[in-house]
Amino acid sequence: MAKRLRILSNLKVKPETGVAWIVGFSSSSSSSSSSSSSSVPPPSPTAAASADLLPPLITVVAFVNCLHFSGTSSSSLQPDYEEEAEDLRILLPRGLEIVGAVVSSSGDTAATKNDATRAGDFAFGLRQELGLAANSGSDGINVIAALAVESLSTNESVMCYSQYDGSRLQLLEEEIVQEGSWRDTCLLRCQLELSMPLYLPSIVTLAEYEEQVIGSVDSIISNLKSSRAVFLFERQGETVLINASDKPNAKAAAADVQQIPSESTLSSLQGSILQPAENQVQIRRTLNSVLSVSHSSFRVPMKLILMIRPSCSKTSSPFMQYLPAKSLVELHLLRMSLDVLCLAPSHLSAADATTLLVVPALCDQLIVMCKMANKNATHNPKVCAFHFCPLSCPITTIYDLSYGESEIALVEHRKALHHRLGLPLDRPMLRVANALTLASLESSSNHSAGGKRLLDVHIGLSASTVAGGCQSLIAGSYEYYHYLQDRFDDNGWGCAYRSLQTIISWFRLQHYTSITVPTHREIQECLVEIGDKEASFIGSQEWIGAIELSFVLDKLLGVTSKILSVRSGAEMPSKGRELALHFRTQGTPVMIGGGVLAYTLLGVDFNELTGEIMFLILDPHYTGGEDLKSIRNGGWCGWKGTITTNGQQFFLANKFYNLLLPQRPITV
Amino acid sequence: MCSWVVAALESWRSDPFPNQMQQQKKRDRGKVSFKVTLTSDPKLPYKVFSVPEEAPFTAVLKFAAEEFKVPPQTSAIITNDGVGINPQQSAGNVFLKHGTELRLIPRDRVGTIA
Repeated sequence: MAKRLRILSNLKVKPETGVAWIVGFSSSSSSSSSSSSSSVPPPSPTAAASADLLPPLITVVAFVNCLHFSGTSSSSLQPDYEEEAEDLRILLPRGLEIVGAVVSSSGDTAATKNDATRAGDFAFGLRQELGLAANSGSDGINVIAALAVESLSTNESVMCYSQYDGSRLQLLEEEIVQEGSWRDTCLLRCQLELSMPLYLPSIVTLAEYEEQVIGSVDSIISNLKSSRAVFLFERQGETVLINASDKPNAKAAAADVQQIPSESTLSSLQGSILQPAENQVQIRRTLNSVLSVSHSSFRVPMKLILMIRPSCSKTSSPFMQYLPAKSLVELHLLRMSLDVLCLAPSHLSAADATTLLVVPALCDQLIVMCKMANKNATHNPKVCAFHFCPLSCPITTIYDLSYGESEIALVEHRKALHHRLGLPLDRPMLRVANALTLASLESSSNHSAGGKRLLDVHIGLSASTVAGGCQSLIAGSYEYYHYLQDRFDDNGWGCAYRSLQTIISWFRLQHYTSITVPTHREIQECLVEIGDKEASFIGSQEWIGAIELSFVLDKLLGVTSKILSVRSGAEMPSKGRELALHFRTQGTPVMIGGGVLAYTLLGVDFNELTGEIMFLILDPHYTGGEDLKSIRNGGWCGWKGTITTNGQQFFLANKFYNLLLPQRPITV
Repeated sequence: MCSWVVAALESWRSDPFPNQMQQQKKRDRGKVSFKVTLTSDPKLPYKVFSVPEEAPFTAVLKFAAEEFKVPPQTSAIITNDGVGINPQQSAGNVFLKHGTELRLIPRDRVGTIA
């Protein structure tokens, strides 16, 4: 019986390496057809019978390029199943499976059947390596074999899906949906911070290191899999204790299981208490809070906290255990931050979810982190797991942050991930700063002592008065820094510092860096550190200019900047074309220093034919509060022409101006 | 034509790319040269300086500022494309990263008139 295929509308694939994997999940149609209006009881026999009549549904959520191949000749390329499985086990949340493979095909009818068969075989091979069970359902094992035919007219691939069970191909109709494919699933998240003690002599061999690490990790894994592991489900203040045991119907945890409230309708948040059937407790969807990330919205995941019961059940007096060491050893801590995301269908019971999804995911992450720690064998390793959502589904990666984010090995790791996910290679999307903070729905803004800063105060301004001009504006978001913020009195001397803070906030919000925006003192310390200023500069109220800003940007962020030096204010309009080009290609905020005043330039409106120009200026000399109206009305953010309202020149003719144009780093 | 023009033409004909050869020779001897243009003067005067590789780039800045009779504390050197150069590197480093053509610009210092 042919399955139904559902694909998100914005999914595109272009298998750069020739082969890509199809990521998705299959759901039994009973959950997809149930409406959310009433509480769904455990699947009753009649519901199950009617479910068999509808074919099972496969939802495709992402395409992942295949990176590792074995075999050298291009015609007989076989994916290296072992390497791919190792990578994909960690990358995809548990619950998402490889449901098929895509092969790029030339499109002639002779080759299509061959290519589709190849795709199906690849998918089978990978599923076998991943240890995935056969698809449930009466029709046995089958995968989706898809072809991506590149059409010459548009630069996109046309997809053609078929179902393959090892011998036969059956064409599938796809159903394109906008979103809502996550409706019947539930995200679970479990975090585990481990700090393992390692007792290493000062000169340690790799074998000893590995032995200790593997020993500790093995003991943790056995703890996880034993019946001593207990999970605490947390959601909106309600908590439920679930025993993770091998048998889903275990009665051992009867005493621990409490009743979990469920919502009965969409609008009500607290519902009636559902009677658990024996020890089966249903997971309900959290309907109230939705996390919108890029194109898809997920429910806020349910948090799971792991606790391990001690082995001796009888209470006894505290005891100490000691292990003899062969020689003088030092204590080193191996810090690992595990963080697993699992996608569970809503009808799955909590105990099943932990046994089938969460515990294996934790074990997988542990094993990979152990390998990573062994590979680097540093003295204070710090291995962490992060979640990202660059495309339509969440992914997880593990980084070894012992040497910082710009380390070459990490950069290569990120580049490989960008290739795998088909992401552009010139901007950072998988850095720590881009990681999802699923704990709260607040964005990570720079909360300071003075309160929240205003973002993007230029949006919504009335248009400039240049007739027939072309606006080129800053790309992305920034925070408005100005005089007297954070109760720091920099009136009269700190405008360049404030302009720098605005620029750094732009790099922060665009995820090029995760450092905090520096204070005036930190900026001064940076300049003294690189030797541009004497030590007496710290704590003073000395003015700085565009050149000092370029030094600080280079030191703190690694950002190079271009300096445009304009001999006289009267020449500023002649730089219109160059500034417009900067905003179109780089889109970073510009700092204008000269004539004693500093400004931040957010855009230009330039008419190429007449040469008329207006500048969108953000003035850091504003001393008022965070009031958008007074900022706009007072002209602290607005379009300025070369002649101000008083009839004065905005840019003085007898002064020179330096413009600082920060360049986007082309980095991953 | 004046004699120096003739001499320059002769040398150009014999060695069309003298700069590269000379700079190669200079590097081999441990010195690097920079051609610094004063952009604040509309006539765009320039001077060529030769410094040892290990010398801090601040020496070039000081030299150039003195030659052009501008105070070194309020001057900075940028490349021809406008990229700012941190003077705390060695001259050899700057030569490798940015080449020989540089510009001397005045520094702005901004605050507010109280």
